[in-house]
Amino acid sequence: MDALVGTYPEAVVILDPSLEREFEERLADSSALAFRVALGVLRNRDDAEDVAQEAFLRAYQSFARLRDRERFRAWLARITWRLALDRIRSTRRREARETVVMMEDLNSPQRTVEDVRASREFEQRLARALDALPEKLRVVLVLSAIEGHDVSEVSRLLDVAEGTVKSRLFHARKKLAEMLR
Amino acid sequence: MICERFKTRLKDFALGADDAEFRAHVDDCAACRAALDAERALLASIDRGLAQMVEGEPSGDFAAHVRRRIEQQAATPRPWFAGWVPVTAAALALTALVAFWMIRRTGGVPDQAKEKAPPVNISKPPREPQMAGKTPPVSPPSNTGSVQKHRPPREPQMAATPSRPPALTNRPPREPQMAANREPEVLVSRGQLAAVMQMYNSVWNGKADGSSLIAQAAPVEDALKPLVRDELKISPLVIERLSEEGQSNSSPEKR
Repeated sequence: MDALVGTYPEAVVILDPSLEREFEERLADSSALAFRVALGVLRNRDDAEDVAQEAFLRAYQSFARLRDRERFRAWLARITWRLALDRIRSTRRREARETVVMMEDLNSPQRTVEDVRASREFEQRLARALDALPEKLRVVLVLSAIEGHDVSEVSRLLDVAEGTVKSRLFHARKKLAEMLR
Repeated sequence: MICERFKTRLKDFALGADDAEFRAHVDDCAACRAALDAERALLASIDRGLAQMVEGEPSGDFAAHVRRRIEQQAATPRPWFAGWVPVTAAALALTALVAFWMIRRTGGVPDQAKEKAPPVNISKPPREPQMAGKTPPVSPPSNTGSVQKHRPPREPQMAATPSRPPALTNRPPREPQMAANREPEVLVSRGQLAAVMQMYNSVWNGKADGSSLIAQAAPVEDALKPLVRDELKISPLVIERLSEEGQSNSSPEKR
């Protein structure tokens, strides 16, 4: 009973103080990862933050077996991805997502109207092309963008071989280029 | 105009594929070099767009929101049936398992056997005794005392029992018991049984006239007359006083 002080049915868990501290550390250093994974799927900040919080809530309930940092980050990325996909399926907020992208473009400094228009159009096409990709390729692209194209980090997050990540990245970028050319 | 033979290889090369021949070709072909630059620019735009798509930080009170949600979930009362769900599921699974085991153990009754089983008429007793022709019909007990013991006929118990295919049961066939239940059971001496059997066979084979046998025994008219008995007279009970020696002076009871 070192991991759990009390366990209730329906996975309502209260962690002991040492685990609480560890969870606080994970929360601090992995919240950006969860938020960005959700943002890569939802492209809406409010939804992304809500989904990331939900992912941490679930991580808290299973934290006794997720103490290892790498394991925790991989699990968190996967659960956030699934929750974000569920959110998209339940509430189709495509219109809101596109509006947010447009507003962020207009707020960017030192850009002409033509630049913003071209950039916005390209981003919308990119978002549609990304949504059209198979899920395996899409998640590799998003995680690669989040992790700065660090293949080893993506392979750890997805728990697949680096060669697999490279292959999927290759095919994903090729497909995107064909759709956007 | 890019070279046709390098059209596909150019895209793969831009994506990072190692192609020494194409690398050497690009150094000499300006058109392919320009196409390669355009492909790399497109890929760079894609990478940049993806990076912008996931760019951002969660809000400053993100951790506080997570904490609040954890506390809310811990404080939320569970529905009363939440704890019973696994118990109910386990009980149902156990019941199904036991039922399956019992069906397997008893072997069950296959549908074909059910269809072949004769229909059972519970209300009607069997019309013909199975042993007819082998066992003579037994006459009702008479006053002559030829039948020593008479039991009332039993109810045909087996008729109410649904028959089963013999292959599915390990029990011996019940035909003798069935016959016993269908016939009134009469116990007679061996000599009487032999005599009745001989008479029955004679009548059955036409060697003897049954009506003449009856006629010899008693006139038919007499047999058809209702039985008349003399009225039973009962005299009052008289008890004489006992003498002092404990012996009565006459007979002890007089009716």
